[in-house]
Amino acid sequence: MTTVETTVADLRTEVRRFLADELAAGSFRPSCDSWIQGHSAEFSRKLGDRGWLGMTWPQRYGGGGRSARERFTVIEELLAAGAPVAAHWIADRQTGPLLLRVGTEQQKQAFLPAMARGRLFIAAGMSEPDSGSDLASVRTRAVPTATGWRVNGRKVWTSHAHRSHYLLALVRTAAPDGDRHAGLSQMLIKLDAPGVHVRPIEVMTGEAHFTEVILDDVDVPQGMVVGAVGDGWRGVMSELAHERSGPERYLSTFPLFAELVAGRTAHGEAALADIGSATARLWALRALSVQVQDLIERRSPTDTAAALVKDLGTRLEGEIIDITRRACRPGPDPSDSGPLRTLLSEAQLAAPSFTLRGGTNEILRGLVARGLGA
Amino acid sequence: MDDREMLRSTVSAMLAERAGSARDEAARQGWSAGLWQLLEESGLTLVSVPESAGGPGGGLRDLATVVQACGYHAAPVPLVETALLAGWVLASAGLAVPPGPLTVVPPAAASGALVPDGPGHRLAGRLCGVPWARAARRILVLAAAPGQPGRTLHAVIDPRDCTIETGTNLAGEPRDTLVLAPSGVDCRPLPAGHAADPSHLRLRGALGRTLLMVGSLRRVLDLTVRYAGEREQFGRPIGRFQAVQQQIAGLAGAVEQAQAITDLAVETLEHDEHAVEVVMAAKICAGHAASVAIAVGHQVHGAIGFTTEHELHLHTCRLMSWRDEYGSESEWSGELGARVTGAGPGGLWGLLTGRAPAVAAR
Repeated sequence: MTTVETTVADLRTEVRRFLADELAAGSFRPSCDSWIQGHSAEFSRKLGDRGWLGMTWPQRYGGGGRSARERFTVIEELLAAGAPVAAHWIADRQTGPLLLRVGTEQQKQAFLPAMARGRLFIAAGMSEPDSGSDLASVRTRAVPTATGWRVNGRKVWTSHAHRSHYLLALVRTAAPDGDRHAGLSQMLIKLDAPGVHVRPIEVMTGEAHFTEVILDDVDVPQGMVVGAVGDGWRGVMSELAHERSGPERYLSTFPLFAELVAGRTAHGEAALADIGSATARLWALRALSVQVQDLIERRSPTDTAAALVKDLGTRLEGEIIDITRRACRPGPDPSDSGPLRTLLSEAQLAAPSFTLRGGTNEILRGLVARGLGA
Repeated sequence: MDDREMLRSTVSAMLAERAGSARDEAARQGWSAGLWQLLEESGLTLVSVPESAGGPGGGLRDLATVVQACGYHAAPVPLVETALLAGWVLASAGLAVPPGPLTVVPPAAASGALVPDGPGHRLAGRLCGVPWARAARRILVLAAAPGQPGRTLHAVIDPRDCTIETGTNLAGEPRDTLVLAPSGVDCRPLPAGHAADPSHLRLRGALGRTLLMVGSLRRVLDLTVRYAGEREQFGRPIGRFQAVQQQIAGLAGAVEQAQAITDLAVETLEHDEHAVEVVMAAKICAGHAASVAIAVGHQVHGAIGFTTEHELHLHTCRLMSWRDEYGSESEWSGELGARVTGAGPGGLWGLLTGRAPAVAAR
């Protein structure tokens, strides 16, 4: 093995040992969709204390100074185990890298160390009641004041705003003026600031990770604009490769699949073929995702490849549910407490969101086709 | 440009230039002796066979590059059978690799023709579905020795000693029947202690078809993207229609998925000859992708893609054949499913992340 491979293998062993200990101690129950639904500030703090958040960020900002491959290894192990990683997910995956790319020195020093320790959580404020796939149509407005900006508008489908410290909001700071991608900016808004109202939205899974965030004359200091004023669109787009190609795009139902494969279910011939087929495609997606990570690290263009990972991965996540349903009849009984039944119930209820979040698959497919030159 | 990219573009240019004449020749006799000669003179027919066995050396990844280019250009030559299969078996058993095109009898056909003969065994009767038999200078047969686990028997047949009944797959590639001489063919045990046995041969055969398919899939994607950009209806290129874009993106996804796992399979196999599951996974993904590519390729091309004057049908018919040869995706899925369910808790994840699986079937 090369040095890199040895480092990764050692790290993997370390994460698996940690997860086994946590499971034995009952600190979490493996669940599907744990990067959205598994919110545990305590668990995130444990990861921060171990140096498993902000792993690739420079050490002078509290990061680990480690490789993208090492981070990939940690997050795929956490996701495969169904560990609760939602609290820090946005900060670790996209806000941190965004600040490193375009943030001010002051922002880096103020935010990154606390994010890397699992003490500061960020919620993503992109969608609005009238802006979904067409994100550039956001209407939340920020107008300049003597000390910064006054923000008015509504953000919706923001996960965990009621449990986070800051909202990273995409807002309009100037009229579109011909180019509708111009005049947009990203700013960090303190979620306990006056004028911020967070309303949890209960969803069909029975819990409420979604929120609506109402911004009513909220004063945001000048220093909280991330990147140049008016350059927010580029910032959002640059986050997308990270957002679309990671292992969370094909592992949301992996805890269910692992339980189906290794649990108590007896498998007929058809189920074995289903399992083999899904295994092959999951394996291929992981290989593709690793390739995209390497491209990101080399700063090569990855938009098309990242969109492909998300399109293929989210569809496979759904297919794993169908495979499980075929393999264990009768269907899931929410009152049955066996792990397979529980996982199947929660996966099914979460599944409709898989192909929506982070850009609907239809939008992604258009992006792929245009990227290929069709 | 790295060495492998250079190899790819060199081979590609050679195959593209000769595509027309090779196709004409194949229409007459099932394969292209002219193209084969060109490849042989360029030292490309035994890539990855070590110099000690008469090859030019190089790694499996180099050979994979050449094979994928052959798939991309639908080259009518027995390259997989010669270098990846026969060359590998003979070289790893310490036997000389004869010159010229070679082929191998698929393991299932071989075991059916084995008859006891005193203390040993002979091959007798007919061997069906032998790829490129009419083109081969020598034909290799491998079979598991009945009642002797781990022992492998082999024979090297000179096709001039038997009768060949020609047959083809859907793409018109030779899949001939060998009618052995009444006296049969002597089988001898292979020296013990190497990887070349019938089950590994089947797996490498699957890898060969997968590599050809990945090349062919890439060609279908390229042709389809190009056509969608050129063909205009309702006053604009059909690629501007969202419905068509959705189809093309689905095709691209299937192709990239197959490519990624195939790259991984080649890389893994180069270091560990016993890595079997990743090859199964590659054949499965390529099989799925073939079905997508056939459907989308034709849907986007419309009627022209259905004609023999257009290149698409060469790939359609090959993909249809190759997805079933050396194990269809459903056969391999059943086998891979049995392996991962038998691997215990953590076995599946261990396999996907690169730890050697704890599978008895190894």
